[in-house]
Amino acid sequence: MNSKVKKWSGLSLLTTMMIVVIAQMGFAQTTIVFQTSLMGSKEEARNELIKDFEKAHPNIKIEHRGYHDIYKNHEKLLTSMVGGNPPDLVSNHDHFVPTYAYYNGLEPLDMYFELAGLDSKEIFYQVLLDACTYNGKLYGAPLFSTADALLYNRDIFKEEGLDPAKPPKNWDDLLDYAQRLTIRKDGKLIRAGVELPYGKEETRNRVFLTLLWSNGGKLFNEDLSRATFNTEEGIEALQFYVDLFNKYKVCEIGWGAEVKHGQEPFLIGKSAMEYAGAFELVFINNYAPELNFKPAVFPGRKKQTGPVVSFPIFMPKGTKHKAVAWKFIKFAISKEANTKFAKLCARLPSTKEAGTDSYFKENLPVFIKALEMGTLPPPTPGWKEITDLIQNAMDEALYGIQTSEQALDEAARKANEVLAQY
Amino acid sequence: MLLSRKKQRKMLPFREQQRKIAYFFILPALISLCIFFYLPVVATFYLSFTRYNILQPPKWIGIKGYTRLLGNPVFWKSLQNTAIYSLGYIPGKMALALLLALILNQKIKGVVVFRTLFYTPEITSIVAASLVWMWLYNVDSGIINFALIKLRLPPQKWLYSIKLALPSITAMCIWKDLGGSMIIFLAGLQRIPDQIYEAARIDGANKWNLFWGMTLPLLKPTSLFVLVWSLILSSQVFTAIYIMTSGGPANSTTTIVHQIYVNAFQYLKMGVGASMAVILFFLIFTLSLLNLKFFKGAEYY
Repeated sequence: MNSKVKKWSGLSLLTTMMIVVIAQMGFAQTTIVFQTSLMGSKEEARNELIKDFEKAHPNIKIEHRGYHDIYKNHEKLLTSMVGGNPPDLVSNHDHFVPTYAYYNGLEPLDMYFELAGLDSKEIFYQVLLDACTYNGKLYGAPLFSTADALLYNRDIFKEEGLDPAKPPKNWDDLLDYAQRLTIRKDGKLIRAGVELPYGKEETRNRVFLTLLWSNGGKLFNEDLSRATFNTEEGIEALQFYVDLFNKYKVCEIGWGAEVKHGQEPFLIGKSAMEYAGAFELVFINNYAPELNFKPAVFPGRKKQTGPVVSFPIFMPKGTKHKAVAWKFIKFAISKEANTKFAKLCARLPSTKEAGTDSYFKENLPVFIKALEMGTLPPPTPGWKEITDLIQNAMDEALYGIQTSEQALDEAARKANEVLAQY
Repeated sequence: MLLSRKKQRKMLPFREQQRKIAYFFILPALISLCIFFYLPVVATFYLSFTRYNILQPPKWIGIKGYTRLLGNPVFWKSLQNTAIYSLGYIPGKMALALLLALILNQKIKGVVVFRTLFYTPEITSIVAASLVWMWLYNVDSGIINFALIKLRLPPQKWLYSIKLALPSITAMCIWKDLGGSMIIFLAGLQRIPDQIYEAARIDGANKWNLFWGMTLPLLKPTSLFVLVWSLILSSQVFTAIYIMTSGGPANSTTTIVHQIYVNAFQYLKMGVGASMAVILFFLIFTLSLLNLKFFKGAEYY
């Protein structure tokens, strides 16, 4: 080869190599896998969060895997943990955290908070923090939370001569209002006074917790070794629920079951009041924006309280990009991101800083109040099993197979067996 | 044999080689069958004697797993529900499938269209079918209650009723699985030569005699197959229940496979799930053996 060809071939080779190296640098990205159940009403919020994070961190890409069903999410996580390639971050219902933590499947986050100079107790609402703590260690960072409330239709209140600024404040009021607002024709329910969850709805268990706690009852004893929901307070709570269906007939099994979005009885004026979570606000916004309604704290008998649910972000053990994953968590709990996320899905933020935003005080004061007064189910790995036992007891009482007392006693007995395993 | 013994022995090496090649060809399928089917079955038997939560290694507890299971009333309820479901599903499906096969075995123009129509539910997704039937059974706006009201009959709570939830699901599953059995019965019917019927008619047999005395007995091998197959299907019913009622009001629709799923994947009690799977295996095995015994001699007709 003559020297000229040599020169050109050498130069072009060098150029190619440089292009490849520069391109490599540009593509030197880390991709982390984020598996969530942030779907449906939370989808927009989740998309924005990921987009904003990627904008702020151009070298990090987030691969999102979403599952509507929280148990599908749970199943996939389990199998991937066993297979040795879990996602880097997961967001799911908080009641899974104790289970994964108990079996040593999660990375404790205390160290990350310390190294970043953040005090988790200062940042988050205490009640949310409790749900993510197991055996003294913090296993999840709360992302947002939701509480349940009583939604009531102000127009219907006015029609029936009730003051739309005065929602029911205790059980007696609730019953009285509900009876006045119920319309039946030839025995068929035309308008439900108050719509309560039944069947396999997610909120069904929470309504029992609300009634139990607001009656002064407790789920378990201090050290989570014994179930205490079959005390008199619990029996009264369940009986009140059953009576609303069967004795006073202000609501009905099958009412509003499996309807299309936008056809829910409360949205079309067929239920005067309903027990609902914050997610209902998103549906009302989308499908019935003219509905004249207001949320109120669900009436309690001895005190006002209700269950608070959160969806934390947690880190499975055995992932490769822990530092990068932590960056995402830190971003998600920053004031701006946390506030934006909560606003976009009509939920409540998880950080106190974000909670001071005037938006929440104006639009979701009831939910903020619920967050402050709320109680969380105690973290135990057997939570799903115990939830099913309580649901079964509610069914047995509701369908008249057993009395409230018998049903709860049986559930408590079985729950004790479950608790004994942990 | 057309070949003498001597010649057979001479052929041996070639036959041997053929056999070796044959095994070589089926080896990939055999390996994957072993890994994905036989190995998990053996593993299930092992796990049924352990406490296993999938995230930690299994812990051996021996027979305690089974004794605890046998003392659990929900387990017995699920067996009871599976039995009730099977008692509705198997006769219902077989009778309807046979009826349809008899009707559609005639040489009318366009009969193939009907055969296709009745077979279509079989190939639809069980998930889609479950969702559609949930709308049909809807208490307020379902078309079944709508029809009942128009006929001045009381509307029912279907999937929200303790007595009706399991029969509702049974009806849906019969509708869905009808087509497959119908096709098998059709094949069985078409194997019966027409001359037999002619001969019987000449001897003075009427329609009922033909059916009870000839068609049914000649269908015994086909019926046996459909019966065993339906039995295996009905004892494994899961998806419809998972979607439509999640075990249904007060455990009235939970079946054994549903309990296996709930215990293994929701409560993280794989050992319990494995024990239930083993018990189910022996149940189906025994029932199938009994069926075969009962139908013994069917093939000699």
